[in-house]
This record gives sequence, C-alpha cells and structure tokens, in this order.
Amino acid sequence: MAGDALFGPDAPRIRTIAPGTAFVKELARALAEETSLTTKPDALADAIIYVPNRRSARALSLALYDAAGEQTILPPDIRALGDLDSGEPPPIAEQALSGAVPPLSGARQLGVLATLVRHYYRTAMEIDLPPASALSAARELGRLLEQAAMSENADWNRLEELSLGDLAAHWSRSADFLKIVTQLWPEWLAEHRASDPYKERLRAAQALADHWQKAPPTGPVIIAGSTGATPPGRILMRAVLELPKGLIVLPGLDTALNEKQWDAVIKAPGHPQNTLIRTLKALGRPPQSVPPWPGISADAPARARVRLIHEALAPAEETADWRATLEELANAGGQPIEDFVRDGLTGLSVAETPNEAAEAEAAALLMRETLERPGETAALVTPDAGLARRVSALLGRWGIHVPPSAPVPLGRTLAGSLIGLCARWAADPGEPAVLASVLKHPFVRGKMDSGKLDLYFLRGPRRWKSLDDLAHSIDIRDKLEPHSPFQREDQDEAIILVRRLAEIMEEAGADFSILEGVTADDAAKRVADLAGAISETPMPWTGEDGAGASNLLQRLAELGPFLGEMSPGAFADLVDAESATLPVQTGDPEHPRLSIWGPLEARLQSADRLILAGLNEDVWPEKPPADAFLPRRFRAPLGLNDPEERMGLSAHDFAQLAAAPHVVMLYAVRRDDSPVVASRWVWRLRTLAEGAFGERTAELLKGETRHLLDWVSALQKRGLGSLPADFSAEPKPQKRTPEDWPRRLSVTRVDRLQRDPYSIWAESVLGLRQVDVLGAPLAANLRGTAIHAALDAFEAEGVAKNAETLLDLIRNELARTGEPESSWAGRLAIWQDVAAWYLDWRRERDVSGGILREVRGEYRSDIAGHPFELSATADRIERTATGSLVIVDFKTGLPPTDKAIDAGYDQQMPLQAIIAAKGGFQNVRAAPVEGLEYVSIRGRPEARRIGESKTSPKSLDELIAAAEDGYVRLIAAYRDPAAVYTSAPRVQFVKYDYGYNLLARRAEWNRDTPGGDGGDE
Amino acid sequence: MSERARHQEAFEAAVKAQAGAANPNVSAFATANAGSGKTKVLIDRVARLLLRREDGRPGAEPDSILCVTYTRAAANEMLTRLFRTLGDWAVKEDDSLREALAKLEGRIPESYSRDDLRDARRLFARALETPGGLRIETIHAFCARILRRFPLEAGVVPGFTEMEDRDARALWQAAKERAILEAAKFAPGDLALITREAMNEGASSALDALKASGAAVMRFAERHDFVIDRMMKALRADLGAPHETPEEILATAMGEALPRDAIREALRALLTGTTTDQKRAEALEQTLTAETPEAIWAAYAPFFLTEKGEFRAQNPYTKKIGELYPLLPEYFQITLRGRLR
Repeated sequence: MAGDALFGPDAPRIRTIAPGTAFVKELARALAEETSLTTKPDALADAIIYVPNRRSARALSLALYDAAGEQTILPPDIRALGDLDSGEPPPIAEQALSGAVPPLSGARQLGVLATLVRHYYRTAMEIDLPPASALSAARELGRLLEQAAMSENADWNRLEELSLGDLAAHWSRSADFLKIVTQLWPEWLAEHRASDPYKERLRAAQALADHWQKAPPTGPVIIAGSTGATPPGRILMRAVLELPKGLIVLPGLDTALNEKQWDAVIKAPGHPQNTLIRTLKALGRPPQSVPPWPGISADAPARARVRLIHEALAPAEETADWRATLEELANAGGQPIEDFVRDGLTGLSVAETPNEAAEAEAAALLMRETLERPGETAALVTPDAGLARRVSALLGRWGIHVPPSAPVPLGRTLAGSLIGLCARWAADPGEPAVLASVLKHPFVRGKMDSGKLDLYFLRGPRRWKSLDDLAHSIDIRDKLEPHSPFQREDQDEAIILVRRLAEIMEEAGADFSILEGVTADDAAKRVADLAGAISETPMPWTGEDGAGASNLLQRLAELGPFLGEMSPGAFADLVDAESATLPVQTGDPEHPRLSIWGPLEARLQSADRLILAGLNEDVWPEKPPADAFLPRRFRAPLGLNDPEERMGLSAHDFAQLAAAPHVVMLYAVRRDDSPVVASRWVWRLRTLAEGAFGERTAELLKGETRHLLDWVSALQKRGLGSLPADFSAEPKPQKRTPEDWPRRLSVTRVDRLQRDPYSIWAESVLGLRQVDVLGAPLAANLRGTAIHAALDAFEAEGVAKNAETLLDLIRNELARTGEPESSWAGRLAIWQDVAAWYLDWRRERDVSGGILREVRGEYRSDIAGHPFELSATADRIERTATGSLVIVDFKTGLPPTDKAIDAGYDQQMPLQAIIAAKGGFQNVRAAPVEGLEYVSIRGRPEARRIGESKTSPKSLDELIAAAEDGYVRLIAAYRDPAAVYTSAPRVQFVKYDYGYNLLARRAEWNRDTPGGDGGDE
Repeated sequence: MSERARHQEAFEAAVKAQAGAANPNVSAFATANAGSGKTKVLIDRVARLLLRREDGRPGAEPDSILCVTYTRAAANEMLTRLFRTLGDWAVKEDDSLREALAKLEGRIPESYSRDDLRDARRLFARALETPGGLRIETIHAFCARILRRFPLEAGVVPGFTEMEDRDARALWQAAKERAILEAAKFAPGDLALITREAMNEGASSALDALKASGAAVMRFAERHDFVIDRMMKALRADLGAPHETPEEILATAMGEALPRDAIREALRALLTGTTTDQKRAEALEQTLTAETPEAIWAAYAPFFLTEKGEFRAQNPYTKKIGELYPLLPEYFQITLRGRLR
C-alpha cells in the first residue's frame, strides 16, 4: 500500500515539482519508491492519476514502467484532464457520471450559432453571410461561450450595466449581436432540451466531485502537472483535497514568494506563476505551505537558474528594483552579483540567428551533435510549425527521421487535402488547375495515370466547360495546333481518361456545376464518394489523417441542416475553413532520442538537451487573437478571464523549459525577409543579465553556441548543395562546335537572336519550350494566329467578301483558339472597325499580277564557311501590274517604326524581301520588291510601307541592303566559337519575354525583372 | 568660424531640432533625409510619452500610444530600438539613469525623484507586456486589426482574410468580364464607345483605368444615386463645362455668335496688307459663305489652330497691318487671347 510520506493522514495534500526537474520521471520515481512498486507490481492498481493531456499520460505509464525496474506492473488508471487549449474532451468516465442529457456535439453547437449569426446579419444588416463567414463568427462566439464557462465569475447580465462613455453608439450594435450568446443560445438550449458542451464539462467535474464525496475512492487519487487553469480542473482539485489519499502535484510552483509578491503576481496575468497562485488561492492554501516533491535535491547552479529565470520574468511592477533584487539574491548566497548570474546561466545559452533558415540549421546541428553522445536525448520545442518542419527536413538530410509531434491542420494532410480538392473539383469539374491537382495527388496518382493530359491538353486558355467539352476539345486539338508535339494516341489516351473521370463524377453524383446550390450534408457525402472512387482503396480513410477526414465529413454532415443551401464554391470554401481548424496527430514513428515538440506537447516532458526555438514576439509567445465582438476592456467587468492569462500559461511553459539543466534558446533577427523582435522573455533575461555584466552579457549568453553560428554559415556556404563563392546564375552558354548550332532560322528568330540570344540557344540547342500556364488568359500571339487564320480563310475562293462574313470568321477563329465570350464582347467594336477597314484596304490593292497567301520561302547561303538557311512565311505576296512584288505582313501588335528597322532591329520584312528577290518563295518568281507593307489589324487599323514616309531615314532599297549585310554579320558573329548566348543583353528589350527569362534565372542576377533582387521593400 | 566649429554648430542645431520634435507636448511634423535620425525622434517621443511628467502626472499607458509605419521592417526596427532604450534604463544605476533621462527630456538630472526613476525602470517590462502588444505597426496591420475587432461596425464579414494580390487580380478579371457581358446585352453602344477609346485591349483595359479610382467613382455615383444624368450634370458643373453637346456649341459659335461684322471689317483690313494677308482674307471669306457650322469651322479654325489642333505660333495677320487696324489684334491675336486663356 501507499507509503505514509505521500499518502499518510498527515502528509501534505499539495506538493510541487520544481522547474528544471524531469517532472514525469520524478513523479514516477517517488510514487514507485513510496509504494515499493518494484516488489509489489499491483501497488498502484487502484490509483487514479490525472495528467494534463494524452501525451503526458503515455509518458507517465512509460516512466512508471521504468521506475518499477522495467517490469510489468498493474498500471494505475491514468486519465487526461484536458488542458486549456488542448482541445481534448473530458474523459468519458466523468461524462457518464454527470447523468445529464448528452451534450451537443461541437459541430451542432457551431451550426446553431452560425444560424443565429446569419439571422442577425440578415435582419440587422441585410447581409446574407456566406457559410464560411457565418461559421467563423460562430466559432468566435463559441470561444466567448467557452471563455465564459471557463471563467468562474462570468455574468452576462452585467452587459447591460457596462459604463460605455464615448463607446455607447458603437456598443449598442455589438451588445445587440452578443444577445446571440447571452439570450438566444440559452433559449435555444432550453427549447431543445440540450446542454452546452462547455457547461457540460463543468457539470461532469462537479458530478465526479459529488460522487467522490459520497463514495471516496480508497486508492490514491493524484492530479499531477496541472496548473488548475480551468474551472473543471479546480473542481476536481478541491475534491481531491478532501479524499483520504488525495494528492495534487503542481508543476514548478515558486514557493519562495512572499505575501506582497503574491499580490503582485495575481495582478499580473502574464506572469508564469499567475495561474498557479490563483489556483492555490481558490484552494485556500498559501504557496509557502506547499512542500517540494520528495527526493529531489537541486545543486547551486540549478537553484540559481530557477531564481534567475524567476527574477527575469518578475511582474512589471516589481522590476523597478531589479538591480536591488539581484543584489539581494546574490547576497543571500554570499556571492558577488556576477557570480550569481554566471551560476544561473550555466548550461543556458542564447543564440541570435540571422534568419529562420539559419535558426533551423542551428537547431538541426545541435540535435545532430547530441547523437554523438551515447544515450543522450534532445528535444526541439517550438510553436512554429514551419520551423519544426524545416528542422525535421534538415535532419532528414543526415538520414535522421524526427517527425514534428505537434498536430497539423487536416487541410495539410494527404487525406484532408484530397477532400478539399475534391470539393473544389466538384464545383467545376472542368477547371484545369484543380483537375491537374487532383490527378497529381499522391492518393490518386497510384490509381490513375494522367499521361500527357496535363502537359498537352489542359494548359493555356480554357476552351471547354464540362469534362465532356474537354474530351471534345482534346479530340480536335491537333487541328488547332498544326505543328503539335503530341501524337494521335496521346489524344486518344487523354480522352479515355477524361471520360473515365466524367463517369466517376457522374456515379458519385458530384458534378455540382449543374446544380443551383448544395447542402453541406449531401455535398459532403458525394464528395466523400468522389474521393473514394478516384483514389486507391482503401485510401483515403486509413491512418490518422483518414480518420480526420472522416471526422470532417461527419462535422459537415452535422452542420448541413443549419447552413441550408449554398453555392458549390461556398461549400468548397467551407471544407477548406473547417479542415484548417481540425488538428490531426500524424502519428509518425518517433525517434528514440530526438523529439520535436510544440509547447503543449513539451509540458511535463524532459530531455538532456532542450532547444527552444522561434523565440520571437508573435511566434513565442504567440500573438493573442483579436478580440472581435467584445472589446478587451469589457471582459473584466463581465467577469471573463483576462486574455493575458494565456500569455501567463505560455510564460509558465517557458519558465519550466528554461530551467532545464541544459537549454539552448534560439531566435531570428529576420523572418520572412523582414526584421523581427526577439521574444519578451529573451529581452527580459538578457536585460537582467546586462544589469550584472553590462556589455559582456552578449558574450556570456552565447555560452555553448559560441561556434554554432560559424558552423551554420560554413554549412550554408560550403556544405551540401552550397554554391561557389563566384557563382552567378546568369547563363552564358557558348557553342562548342558548329554542329551544336542550328543551321536554319526563320526571319523572326534572326531578330530574336539580337534581342535575346539565350532564347535561341534554349529553344534550338537545348530544345526547350515553355509550357503554358493552366487556365492562362489567351496569349497575344495566339490571338494573332487566329486573326491571320481568319483573314486567310476570308480570302479563299467562294467566300462572300463582305464585312459580316469577315467578322464571323474572326469570331469563329478566336472562339476556337479559346477566346472567352467576354473578351470577344469587349473587343467587338474593334473587330467591326477592322472588318470594315480591311474591305476598303483590299479593294484598293493592285494585284493584277496575282496574290499568294501564307507563302513559305527559304534562302540558303554560305556564311563564315558553313551553309545557313533563312526561312520565312509571308502573310501575303502581291504581284503588281509592273511585275514587281509587294510583301504584306499582318500585325495584331504594334508594327516597328522605320527608325527601329534602320537601327538594325525588326528585320523580318527586309529579310523576306531578300528571300523574294532571290526567288526563294514557293511559286513566286524572283522579281524586284516594290513595297514592304505592314498592316496593323488592331484598334485604328492602318497600312504603312517601310521606307516610304517623309521621316524615314533610309529608302526601302537601302534598308534591304543594310538588312542583308547585317544578317550575314550577325550569323557570322554567332558562329564564332567564343560567342556567348546571353539572356536579353539590352535592357530595353527585356519586356519582350520570349518565354525563357525564367529559365535564364534573370530575377537572380538582374534587377530588371519583376520579383528580382530589387532591394528592400 | 573654423570648419570644426561650423560642424559642431550644425550638429547641435540638428540635435536641438530632434529634441524639439520629440517633445510630446507639441504636435510635430518631421521630414528629413534617410539616416538623419527620424526613427530616433520617434523612439524618443514614445519614450518621453511613457515617462512620468515633470509636474508629477503619470506617463501614458503603453497601449494608448499608436505608431504607424509603412513597412513591417520599420515597425519591428522601432520596437527593437525602443526595447533597447527602455531595457537600458531598467538596469541602470540611479545616477546614470538620471543623466540619460535628463538628456532625453532636457531637464536637469537632479529634478528626477527616486519614484521617477523607479517608474522609468518599470517601463521596460510594462512596454514588453502591453496587453495585445505595443501598437507600433504597419498601416496594413493597423487597419486589419481595427476591422477584425469591429466587424459589425465596419460591415465586414467576420473571419475575413486579406486577399492575396493574385486572388485580387483574378476577382477583378471576373468582375470585368461580367460587366462587359452585361454591357454587351444592355448597353452595346456605350460598350463600343469605351472599346474604341481603349483601342487594342478593348473594353477590359478601359475598365482597368478605373481600377485605382474605383472607390472614388463609386462614392461619386452613390452621391448621385447611380443616376447617370445626374452624374453627368454634376461632372459638368465641377468642370465648368457647358450643358450643350459639342454639336450645339459648334452651331451657336459658328452661327449666331460668329462676329460676322468684325470678320467683314477684318477682311477689308487684310486685303490692304501683304500678299500673305490677302491670301488669309480669301480664306476668311469662306467663313461668311460656307453653309453648315462644320464647314464654317473648317474655314475659321486654321486661323488659330494648326492641323494638329494646337494654337499657332503666329497671329493670322502681319505685324504692320495689325498695328494699323486694332480690330485685328482684338479679334485674332493668339498670344493674348488664345494661348494665355
């Protein structure tokens, strides 16, 4: 049976385990010793032990097993108390005892509140709230209800009496809205004979306490590790004190506080001891009366650390005498102040890292180093999930798998993201980006081979609505792209896949695009069917994330009746919003010696080396949520707990961890490329140390991390995947042999060779082509191609030559290319003008020698000792009465000026003239070129001949001669093996992105590109 | 004055100006070059606001001070520097704290009581623990905080998030497309007008031009209950534009308002001038013979305007004849009557 020291009639009922001690381990050790667990494996079988959460429950059973000499014991009944913020429901046992009606589920409560919120918005503000917004407001109100339930003295009736002063006018509206929680919600509960889930927790605790009073358990009942932050917790604590073998073990209570400090702490809700002191006050015990846990002896540095951390986190009011207090503390131990502080800082170091990347690298290095010491353990504690993932990934680099143990939102898990995607997909089954995402989802990839669908048929402008349209669009795609890179079988395969997707969609009844609206319950069922049908069975319902996804669908089903009909898009938003709030414990296997915890997981845990990372304001401590609907200053009068109390709990976590024998604190100077502020606790600790050490503090605080940052920067500079010091991302390809170089270029590519040589290299030598963006708007060049096709079709024989016909042709060609209706409507007037103008233009032409359209031509010559072929396609070549030629080029963009042509750019027309003059165009006899005419087919259409205006610097013949000369020199220059194919060397041409600027990584080495190294904000 | 002395003087003037701007008893507007100490002024001002006043009044509550900056970088930089200043005070010995405070506030060190010093030392922890954080934030964060806190008053949907640029662009695109399709159905004439005005990208780019001023345009439209005629009327009034159409104006100007008598006299005068003047007289005669307002304008306008519609550089009469007949400058002088008006 239990020993007398802990459970005897005169034994203290409340004890505390000092900070810096391995809480769970010490708890188990003393319990085992007291009860002789090693010899009596059933000694604790009738004990009930409450710990804050499930993780600590698990840790305690392991620790008991260890403490019993690693032998099998009959374990005590270890229960999770459900901590504030933990989101864990009260244990079933208490619920059953309360005997009341089962409480509403969280989802139904949310649904009722959302209904009330929507009703308010509709009647008071004439706003029809989208469901996701209503739920967000409902969640806020739910939090208020929870806070009220968790505050012992909350009284909504005092709302009316609030002295409002200048806020009166604003407040009346809020007060009206808050009637939802003060009146409507209780009324609803009464009407439906339901009970509030938060109040239910209180009732459950009370019922258990009453039960204990009537039939006290004979075995030990222990509440360990709880700060007593919640009223249910305090109810149980009060009851435990009355039990014959009741015991409360508080985490890290400061027993050295005097009466005056006690008051100061109670007035400072952000103080680490605040909750503990309030709990003790509620239990009617002064802190000095609480003896320490037996069998723990702290050495001088450990004691100094606890004092130092405690002093650093002193209530603001007390800091007026910081220096004096420090001296007192030092004198008490007969030490000079410097020695006292140095003792306190033994084993503690603080490292300032330049940014979050270096911070993660530093944490990973420290953990890696720990593995070098046999048996030693290390834990990273950070509330920053991104940092945790980063460190985990960095450790993976060394083959060490340490999954972050903090829960992740369901939306970030595989199963959760599939549900979200499917909801989005159901809203619009033909949406290319969503469709591509669904097909690439890991659960889907194994079942469906998406083949070439994405690469060839989903990209560019969306030319379809439904999946059936998509199949049809794939079928005719080869007609749209005469030089398409795909084969007929690619098309057929893609069509089969799309048809199959359409069938699955149909079977699941999940095509919401054909519905006016959906209800959440029905839609959830269909989306679940859809997700099941497209993914590998038994995915996505296995594992923790699968369970989370089922939970989500269950919630949606419960919420459905409250939310009514909504648009399919709103349903997808709802799914996203809900899965962002559902935490999932991923349950990856843990590393035996290394851990990554969130602050909640870290409670009561210990490791040989603790790394506290993310110690920046708004990260740790976290920014408190904005208190919507109820201003902060109204909370106290209503008896609601101060929101700063959460800050206090967070500070308590920090104080506990910071007292560990071996602890490293990390924070970043910059996050997200912007300076950030160090955590208030780091500020306080550093400032206090400065009081003793002045300017030498920085060096002292570095402690064992003195060389850590050198290692980090060395790893970043010279480690795996690092870059040489003289690295530049600017591509400077050179051809090695003439064989590397294309021997044929079109006239437009010759022009590009001047503007952006790299693009020619990438296209002709590397054979790379930019893939279109999914669902991109119609690109200008595609629109140009469509217009060319329309003009060509118009000139065919048998087509009526009037404006209406031309307009129809333009419309058809554009539609085929993927021009949306709105784009057409927004340009209709232009096309009307164009059609009328074109008819006038063509009527005036001298084409007595005939015309040819879309004429291909080429011209071969030797340049720098190798043959080279220049090619072109002329839009229109006319032979005039005199037998000479006029070459016409239709441009939907801006035609170049004569000045630009004279400067050596935009040579495609003069180069075409050369081909024509040499007889290179098919079916066009060589003849002198009389005119080169640009016809702009755009707003205010016009025709203009090169070299004929008054301002033209040169005549046509001169321009053609100059072009020939320039062309030969250009090609020859790039045949020089030393020539470098740079990316857009002339800054004025960068805006013409030929699709290779990204590949050339311009943003990394050049400041002219958007997103480039443009300096600070 | 030696160079050194001049520098010293300039330095002292700058310090004095900084101290003046940091005095919380006066409102101040400070503008200065980068690196000249604007942030220092702001931090000094915040620190002085927090300090107990000389007359014993308590300092400002940390959460009652708002500093708005444009970038997050600037806000966090200010916070860090403020904490450094206040942290420095928190552990300073009495004498050196007195000196620091005296330098900041321009008081004498002895004027600080022990309670003043205790109060100053406490500021560090109080500022760190300001409920909800010290309000040194970007304009964006400030607005978001206000909206989030008062969703009912602001009329925003609860739980809103700030839109990403990409989403905003997509939404704008969708809204434009809808507007264009509506216009195609109900106001094709107006759509054609703005399409032609905008040229190549069509109606869509015309709407883009409204994007930046969207809120102002909506407010304007709202003031006039979205009635287009009322908006036009108000616009005309604001611009001082007449109510008539261009055609009506032309008809009046070239009809009853045309100074035919003066033109006749000018004609006679010009005919006595040089050949240039006589040629002009021939042209001017057409304004009296032409029949439609457009035709009259076509004859009349070249006297004052170039082909491009700009005022001519020279008067439509030679200098000598202008001196002989004052009527010519009275009616036709460009420099005074045209250009300057």
